[in-house]
Amino acid sequence: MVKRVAIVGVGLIPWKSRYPDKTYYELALDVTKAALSDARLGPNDIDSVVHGMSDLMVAWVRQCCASTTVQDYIGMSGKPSVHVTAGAVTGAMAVRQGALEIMSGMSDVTLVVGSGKGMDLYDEASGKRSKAFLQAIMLDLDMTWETPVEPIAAANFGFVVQAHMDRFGSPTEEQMAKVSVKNHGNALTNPLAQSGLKLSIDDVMQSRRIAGPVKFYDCCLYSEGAAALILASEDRAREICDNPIWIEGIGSCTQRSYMPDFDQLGRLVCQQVAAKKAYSMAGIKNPMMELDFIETHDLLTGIELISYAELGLCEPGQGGRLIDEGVTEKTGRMPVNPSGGMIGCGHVAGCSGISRIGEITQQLRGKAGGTQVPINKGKALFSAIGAPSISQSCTIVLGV
Amino acid sequence: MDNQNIFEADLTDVYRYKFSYGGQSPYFHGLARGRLVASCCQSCHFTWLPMREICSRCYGETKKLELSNEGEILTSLALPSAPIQLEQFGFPVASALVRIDGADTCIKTLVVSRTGNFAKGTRVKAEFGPKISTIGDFWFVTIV
Repeated sequence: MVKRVAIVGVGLIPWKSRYPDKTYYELALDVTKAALSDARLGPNDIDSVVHGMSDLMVAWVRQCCASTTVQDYIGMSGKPSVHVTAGAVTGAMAVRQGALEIMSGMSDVTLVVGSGKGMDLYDEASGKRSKAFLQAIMLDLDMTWETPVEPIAAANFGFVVQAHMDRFGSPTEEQMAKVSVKNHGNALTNPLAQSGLKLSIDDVMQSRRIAGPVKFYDCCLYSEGAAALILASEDRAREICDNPIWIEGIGSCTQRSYMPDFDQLGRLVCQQVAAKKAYSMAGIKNPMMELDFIETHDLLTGIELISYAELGLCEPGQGGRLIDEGVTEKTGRMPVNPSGGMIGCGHVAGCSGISRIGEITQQLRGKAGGTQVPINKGKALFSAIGAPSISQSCTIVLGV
Repeated sequence: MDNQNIFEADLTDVYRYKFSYGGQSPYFHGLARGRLVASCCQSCHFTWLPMREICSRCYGETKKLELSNEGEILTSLALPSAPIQLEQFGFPVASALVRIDGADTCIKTLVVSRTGNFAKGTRVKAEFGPKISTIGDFWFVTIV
């Protein structure tokens, strides 16, 4: 019998452009302590650790196995650990791996922790850290089949947005701008967010063009940060707390990377399949009717709009209509990214997914503060997409 | 800790490569000759470009073939400025997915357009730089 898995502890810290006063393992310690405190547990209560950290850590912090340093520094030496890495999907896949630890009976209590720091990189000529950071990402994406012909980091996702526009005639740039306004605005109520802003559609439309239809305010920020979750088996969860948040469904899928199938152009098929698997496991037939809200990867505004269809909220090509009608606003019928998403909060490939699942947990507990949305059905969804050419997705249904 | 007391070190790493393209070397040898080398699966007849030694769909053996150097844009992303190897043209450049005639796959590549037209369906023809090291050393120009 597969064991049920609950989230019983959450450790989050603010997203920042840089933590000059903390190493990545010190950030990991901060969130681990916070998650243990939230669960009222100590380090000795943890059976195993799953580390969600990007393989970009090689370039960012000059450490190829950053999890070994973290494992030591957070006081978990002597316990089993595994390091999960899958581009922007890393955090979600780390939670999936943590859940598998418990479902399999190998562990009763598992810590899932991730941290990321990239702004120690520095471009001497311009004096800018962000330029060196983006250059490192580009060089490490795929030197054979991508980087030489995609000189801009946003191009990887921009291709999908442009192809979707070519194929379905949407989203429009104005619809994309509405997502930017929404997510930056939602972030204003999130004390952990890096980029809460009150923007107008015109502000977004007039911002610097990055590539194709993508403009500056359509893009998520890169940040530094960390996040941790404590997962527990059903028996242990009921001992630990009165309000466990259950992992009710998990789906994961990949698709061809640098040469997409023709019929997949402009689609996020891996996300669609991952969502269907997660819904099936959770017994969800109609997500619009059965979920309270969704947190999904908004690396670009257009990607969020395309995801609406892949997650079953509408037909392909209709995502723009949902933002026009206000359906996905915080006060709408299906709030999407009430936390502010990556665009409003920030993003570190590695711990972003862990953080977003932490935000969902707080929402379902009714403890999300200013970002709180009404919880009537007791279920929410997290969906991550990423990796070179957006070739991987992991989607998780959580419930009370 | 007070940010003024942070100890920061200036560090520089430089890596150099003699980078092997392994079993896909024939593709790059082809680029150096101004040709696009594909491979056709002898079992399922799927044509891969760039060539693969083994078909990733059915694991069948493949046979190399040279395709024409023309195709069409499937989708594109106009770039704000041209990569350094294409600055010489002085024309707009896009990253694009291009389907070469006869291939069952598309390739990510760079496209140069005198008119700035990178619309889906636009016909393009390959051009090759003087030295091939990466896939950025060949590109396509739109056929007017």
